[in-house]
Amino acid sequence: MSKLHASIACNLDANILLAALPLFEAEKVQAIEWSFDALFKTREVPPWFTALLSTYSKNNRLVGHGVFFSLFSGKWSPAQQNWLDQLKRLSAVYQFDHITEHFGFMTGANFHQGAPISVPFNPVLLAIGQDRLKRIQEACQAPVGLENLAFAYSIDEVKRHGEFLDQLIAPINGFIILDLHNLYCQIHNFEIDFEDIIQLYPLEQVREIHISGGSWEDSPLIPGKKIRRDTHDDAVPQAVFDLLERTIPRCPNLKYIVLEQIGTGLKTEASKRQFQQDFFKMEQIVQNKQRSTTKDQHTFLPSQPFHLGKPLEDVILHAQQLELSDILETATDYQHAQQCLQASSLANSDWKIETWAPAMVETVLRIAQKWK
Amino acid sequence: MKVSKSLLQAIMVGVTIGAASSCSLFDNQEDLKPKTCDETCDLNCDVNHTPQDEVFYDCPACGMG
Repeated sequence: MSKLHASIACNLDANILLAALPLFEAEKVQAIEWSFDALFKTREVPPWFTALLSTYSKNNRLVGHGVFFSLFSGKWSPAQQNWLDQLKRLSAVYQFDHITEHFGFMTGANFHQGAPISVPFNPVLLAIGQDRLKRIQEACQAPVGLENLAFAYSIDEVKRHGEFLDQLIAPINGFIILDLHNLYCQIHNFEIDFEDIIQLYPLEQVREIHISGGSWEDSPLIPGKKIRRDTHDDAVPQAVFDLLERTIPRCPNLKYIVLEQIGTGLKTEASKRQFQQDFFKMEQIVQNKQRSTTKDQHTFLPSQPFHLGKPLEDVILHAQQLELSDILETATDYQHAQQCLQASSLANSDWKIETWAPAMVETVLRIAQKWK
Repeated sequence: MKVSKSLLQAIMVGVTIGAASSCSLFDNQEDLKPKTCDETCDLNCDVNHTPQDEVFYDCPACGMG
């Protein structure tokens, strides 16, 4: 078993860094997770930030968390190749203990734009996802993992997510980031019990856990119904800490427990203090659950070499993704979206739009239109 | 894990006054960034929503749900 490391998502963000400084000073941050592809506005990275990355890298306590690769895009793009090239270059500079990405494809016709949206769990998407994960592993030469998505269209999708993740990572002997706030969203939005959902995940494949806060949103369609969203802009709910206590003992190969919050949620002194309190609370749970270390049972590295040919593509999937993105980004409301979906090529397909929960269609409209 | 005091001081100064160096990690960032957003966007984009005194303000965007 690995030692458990209480960690934070740490990026080049003034508010995050200011909130985290007291934690660094107290020598409490045992690892940092860096979203290496999110430096999209900063052309010049200050030397003190690269020094911080190097400090954790030299101690094998730096993990990379990609955001914009768009794992399930049906069409391979030059931007994806560029992403891999950059990852390869960064992996030569920093020693990442592992690299992770998000589940889903980015809405928006223009690749790295939009929000990650779920896909059908079918053989075509499985093959594309496995192909992309192999490319990421080949680029970084480190263990590669995939994070569970908060958003789901239907309860059936919620129940099948863990198994599909397991199938995706199998060829690279990869691992799963289990985001407990994402599970919390699904527990609430689909009224499912934690015990019923957690048993559907391959917990021996979990190497990292995320916790964070989020927000509530009213559903205009269903009066009184509140949708939980993974917006990372508020304190961690006590319920998520409770999930953390219950989940750690079930994950024998867990190594990192990461507190995530976006900088816009840390503007005030009170929010920075809350972030620190959340970290100390998480760290206390981690210490209470700390176990005696043995040699890692799981390397999470490919057990045998694999051949990378031409990137897999699917023109039908690509067309469906463009069509779906367009509908989600332009529909004026739920009814309009439903009309467009039923008239689209997604009707009566593996997307199973007929089973999508109305409140979640509303939610995905908001997500897609927020990030378009 | 221990982070040197000098580095922590450099971070404090850096985020406070917005000092920058000439090191760039990405050659072609145009391919990596969202192009548009509105005033409520909490993902960084081409539009600088942040006050002028907040120079560094990147977001991992994993809270986009």
